[in-house]
Amino acid sequence: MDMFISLSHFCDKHGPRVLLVTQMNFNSSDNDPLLLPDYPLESYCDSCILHFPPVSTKQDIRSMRSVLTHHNHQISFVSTQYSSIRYQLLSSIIRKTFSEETMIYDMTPMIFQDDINKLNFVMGFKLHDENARGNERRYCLTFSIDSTDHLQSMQLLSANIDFIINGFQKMIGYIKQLRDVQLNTLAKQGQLDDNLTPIISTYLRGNKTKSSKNLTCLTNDKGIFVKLHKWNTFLLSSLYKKCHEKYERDE
Amino acid sequence: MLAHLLRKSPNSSLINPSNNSNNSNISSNSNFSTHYTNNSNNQASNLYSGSLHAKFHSNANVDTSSVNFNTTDTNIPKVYAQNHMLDHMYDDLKFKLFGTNTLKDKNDRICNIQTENKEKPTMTNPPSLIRRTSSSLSLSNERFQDGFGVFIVEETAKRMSRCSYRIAMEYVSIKGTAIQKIRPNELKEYIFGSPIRLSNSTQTTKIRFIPTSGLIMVTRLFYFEAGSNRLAICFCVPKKYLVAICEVWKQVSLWFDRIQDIIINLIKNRGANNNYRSFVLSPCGGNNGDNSEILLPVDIRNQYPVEAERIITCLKKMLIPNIESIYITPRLFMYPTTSKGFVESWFIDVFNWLEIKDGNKMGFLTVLMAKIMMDFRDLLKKSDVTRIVILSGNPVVANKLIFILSGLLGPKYKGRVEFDTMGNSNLLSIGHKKKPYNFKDHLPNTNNTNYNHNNNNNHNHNNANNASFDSINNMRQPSETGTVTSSEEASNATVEQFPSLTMHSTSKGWEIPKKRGTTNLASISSNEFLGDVIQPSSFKSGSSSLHHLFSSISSQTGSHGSWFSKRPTISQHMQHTPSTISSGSYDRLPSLFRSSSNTSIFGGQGSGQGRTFSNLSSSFATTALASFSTPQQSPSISEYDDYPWFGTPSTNNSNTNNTELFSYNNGSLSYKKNSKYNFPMVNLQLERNYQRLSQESILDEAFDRISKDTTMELIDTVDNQNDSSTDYKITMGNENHASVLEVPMRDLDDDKNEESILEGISDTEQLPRYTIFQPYYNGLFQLQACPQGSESEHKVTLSMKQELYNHSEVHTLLVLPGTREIKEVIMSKKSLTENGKSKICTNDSNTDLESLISPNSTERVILRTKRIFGNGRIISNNGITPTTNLASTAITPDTTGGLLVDYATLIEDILKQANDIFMSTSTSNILSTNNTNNDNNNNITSINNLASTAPATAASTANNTTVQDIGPITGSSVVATSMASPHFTQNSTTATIAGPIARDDISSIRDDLSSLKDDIPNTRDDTPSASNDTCNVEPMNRGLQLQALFTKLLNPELSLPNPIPT
Repeated sequence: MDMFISLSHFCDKHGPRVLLVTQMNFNSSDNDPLLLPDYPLESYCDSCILHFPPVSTKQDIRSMRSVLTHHNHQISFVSTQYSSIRYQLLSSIIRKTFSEETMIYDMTPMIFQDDINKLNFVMGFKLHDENARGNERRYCLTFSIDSTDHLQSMQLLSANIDFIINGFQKMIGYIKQLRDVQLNTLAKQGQLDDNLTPIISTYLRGNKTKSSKNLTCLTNDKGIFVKLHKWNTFLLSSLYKKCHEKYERDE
Repeated sequence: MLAHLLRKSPNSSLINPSNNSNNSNISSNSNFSTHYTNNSNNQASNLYSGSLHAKFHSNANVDTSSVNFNTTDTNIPKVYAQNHMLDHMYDDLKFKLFGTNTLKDKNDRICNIQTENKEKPTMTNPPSLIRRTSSSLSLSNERFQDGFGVFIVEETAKRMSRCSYRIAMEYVSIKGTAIQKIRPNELKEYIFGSPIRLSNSTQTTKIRFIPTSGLIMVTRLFYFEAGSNRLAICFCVPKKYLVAICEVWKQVSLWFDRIQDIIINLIKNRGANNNYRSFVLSPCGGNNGDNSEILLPVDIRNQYPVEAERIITCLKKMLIPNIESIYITPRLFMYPTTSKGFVESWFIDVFNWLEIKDGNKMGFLTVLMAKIMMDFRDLLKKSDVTRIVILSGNPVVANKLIFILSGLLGPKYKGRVEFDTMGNSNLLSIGHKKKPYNFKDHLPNTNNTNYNHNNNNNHNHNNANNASFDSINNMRQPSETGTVTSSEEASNATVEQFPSLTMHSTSKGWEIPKKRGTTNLASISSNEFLGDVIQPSSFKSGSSSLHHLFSSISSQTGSHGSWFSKRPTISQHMQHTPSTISSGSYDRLPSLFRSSSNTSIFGGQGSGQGRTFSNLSSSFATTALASFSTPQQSPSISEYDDYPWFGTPSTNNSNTNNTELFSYNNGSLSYKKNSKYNFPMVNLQLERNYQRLSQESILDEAFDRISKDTTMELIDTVDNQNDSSTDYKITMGNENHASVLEVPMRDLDDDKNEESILEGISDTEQLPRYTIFQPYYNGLFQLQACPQGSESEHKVTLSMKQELYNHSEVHTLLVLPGTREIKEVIMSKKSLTENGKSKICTNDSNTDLESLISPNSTERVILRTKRIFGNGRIISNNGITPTTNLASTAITPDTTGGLLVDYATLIEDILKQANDIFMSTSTSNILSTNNTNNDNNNNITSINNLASTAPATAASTANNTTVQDIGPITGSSVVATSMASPHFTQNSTTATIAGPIARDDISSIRDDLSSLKDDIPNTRDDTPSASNDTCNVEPMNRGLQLQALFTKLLNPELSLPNPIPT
């Protein structure tokens, strides 16, 4: 069953955007269809873009890939900015989560299932950012099962729901923790442009100076997307193994 | 009016008149009924319960003074008494069935999900509310007291308006709960979301949390027809049920479908009356006011009370009980076959059953096991509506049988569950290697060598210097309470002294544990067959004490188990003195000498093995027994467990010329002795709740490694493909893709190149739906036991019939331990032929064939009941002539009987071999104990003195022991193994075993295990027993051999002479 995990974000300027999507390919090869060709980065603002770790050589990295072996079968897990094979589906999912549903960004899970969006398990969270609208940036971590068999995909989710909730909470908690550390550091350095500071507060005033901030900047962790990729890979591969070995392990 | 109401409640016709059998259980049943009557504060519900009352009062069979009635359909699980089942279960059985004795009924992850919002629980008021409304009858806490609500809402076309919705129906089961505190405007947002959306007509189902209320809302959004207003059905339940809702998603979807049908019909009816259609089809012409485009009536409950009632009833009786039962029914933990402790314990339980329950007429259990191995094990996997149902009036016996059967079933837990059978039995680990759980941390006593194997439960009250009796054990058997605290006492342990050792804290033993799942004094049971004898007579199950009486008597046909009729008298024991040393009559006696102190004689090394004490003087034992026969409990209580307090004397076994298929007589003799082994199960400290195992530790560890990845810092030094400083590599781009950063996942591997974390995660967290004895039959569970009643079989078949909507064939294995019957019920659907009749022919008198016309009447439901076993013999040698496709069973009916015999013979042979292993290792155990207990030399000596005076035990102290004196084994002698070189013994007559386990295999496994032994953290080095390896070799090998046998048992295909046709 096709599963993928995505991190998406509601951009002040662009609306719902995918930041990173990790997908699986069961036939790992050099010409993996999940790998993205070179694409221009100009159309992305800083908060919407997937920051790959800086590489000394001038390489334009567009994908991250991990290959794991399962029963002598190589499965590749690829994280990219967008999904070339599920572009519409992913767009529809993030539009639904951010725009059509009244999402609450408090790490409570939301599950929705229909013929268009398939089964999705969404966990929303927000990070404090004085440069964003409402002083917070909103993100969603989504686990999706791309299958038309509603019952079966729900079975898969139900069999692993604790694992998924737990796994998502770990990553989100980690990001929030990094953000808190970063905020504390900035506060100590006096660089925090806090709107709630009574003297020069911009609270409830027009804030014309909203600027895009990337997740790597908010968390001060250049490797945050690599960690996300790794964690998604771990979750997906575990789920894959779990549902494939369910009945192969009696004896 | 009454007739009208009865017509309105669709399920009232299904009211079960069989509740006479449940009348004794007024309190719990009334809980159930009053919940619905008292808590439904709305008119419709009151009407509904009123109709039920009316129905029952019209039923002459029902005691009208009782409020005891059953309002539910047969497929509706009633689960309110689940926790009571656990309350009265001993820890040993809990360890066996659940892996732990601390079952959480909460899903912490879900319950804590909103902690960051500092959410206050708002669902705290219901209990008080309930108590107020239900004046005289206390409500069970397990009821769905949190309340639930149903909403049916329509979104009007004016989406951007504030009032763009209309609640057509609202129902809340308990008033004043958080559900009613949701503001309607919020409700609209949660249900419909943002008004700005894509206009598609897809049907959506969603589950979401409602902030600050502790509720989840499950919503189905649909359209009456394309372009019409959006309609929503939604129900709210407390958030703890999230997981359960996902698990019964099939039922949830079905419920939504049904309600959707009701609503669509309602709209159609309404449209026929009001000619609304024109308005709908011309949405632009909105000249007719706001109501012009409204599909739903303003108030369904007033205008369409019948439909409203159906909707509510459907939820209340179909869905909510399912959700609740999934949530609250504890599921079995499936021990892996690699767990030696489990395997030993399992064999012991099988032997106990064979000895005590099956007795002379063995065959029931082996045939049952054979039947399960033959096809039901696979059927259970294939279809979740295949079930094994044990119908028994005795919960304890049923649970023991469930433990035995669950050993055969899968899927098993894949992680490591390791009992340390060596120096201390308190160390074990589950899950990932890196996280062994050490009991030492949790124990007040740091001296691990003192653990009596009888007391190695996690929460034991072991105290090295505490010479007093362990109060946790003495409630069930007097001899178990005895503690020999010094050598003088041991050597002077004469008959006169024993009474003073017994029943030290009987009063405490009678205490009913107040709190479930905690360390309590009264519920520890580590000694299997001693356990569970005393049950509080106040135990409430779904069946009356008459049932217990019934099963206790009837299940003893041909055996010796009946407590009060066949109880061995003192004189019997005296007569048996010389000859019955091997009969197991007083195998339990030696536990008298068990001690919880470090002066323990037998359990001294806490090896986790059942010590045997066969070198005790027989006369000594007999006299001790005689003195112990005084503190009997009244039969009404002790009969609760069919297991007698003392062993059963083996009489007239050997001379019976039984020419049955299986020569059980000899087998029964050889099984006798096994009751002396008692491998205790220990608390695995599983992080689990009722349904799931927690995998948090694995996730924690994996995340730690990923987040602390330091090589990531080196990424910017990655130059090209070849850079040794980091595992990160860059694949250069080509015409298809740009450059790729290859991210290694090596940090998920263990530091020491052990198995990757990824290897350990492959277990599912969700446990299979196997459960223990339930007060009511629950169709959601595949293995269960429930009370036997006149209607119980009917309930099973009725629920099977309901499954036929989705399945073509449904199988159920009915097991009746009381009457020793095994039946296979197969229900299948068959389309009627052109003649309107389906041709059914049967020539088997053992097969009951019924034909039921299913509701749509184009299909015929065929019910076949095959009696597999009854009256002590296999019945269905010739299957019925199949009228339906039996291909799914993979076994043609003609060969079923023969194959079953093959399987049963094979299982019996394996059990015999296991028995031999037990017996051959028994003697050496005691020797090694003697050899290694240097600290307790005085005690040992004293017991040795006692032992050496007994001629009967002379043989057992020798290295090479033959066990022929136990009883003749058909045509062969079983060679017991010596202590130094234990071999796997093979019964030469067991010709049906095509592939006996080769000695090489055993030795190879042994090698594996000895290497595994090294992996075990060497805390055992602190123990004296580790100083002498001879102590360790025996149990280790025994465990290995048993494991090999168990594996063989689970893979009978490998050993059968005729391979199963596939």
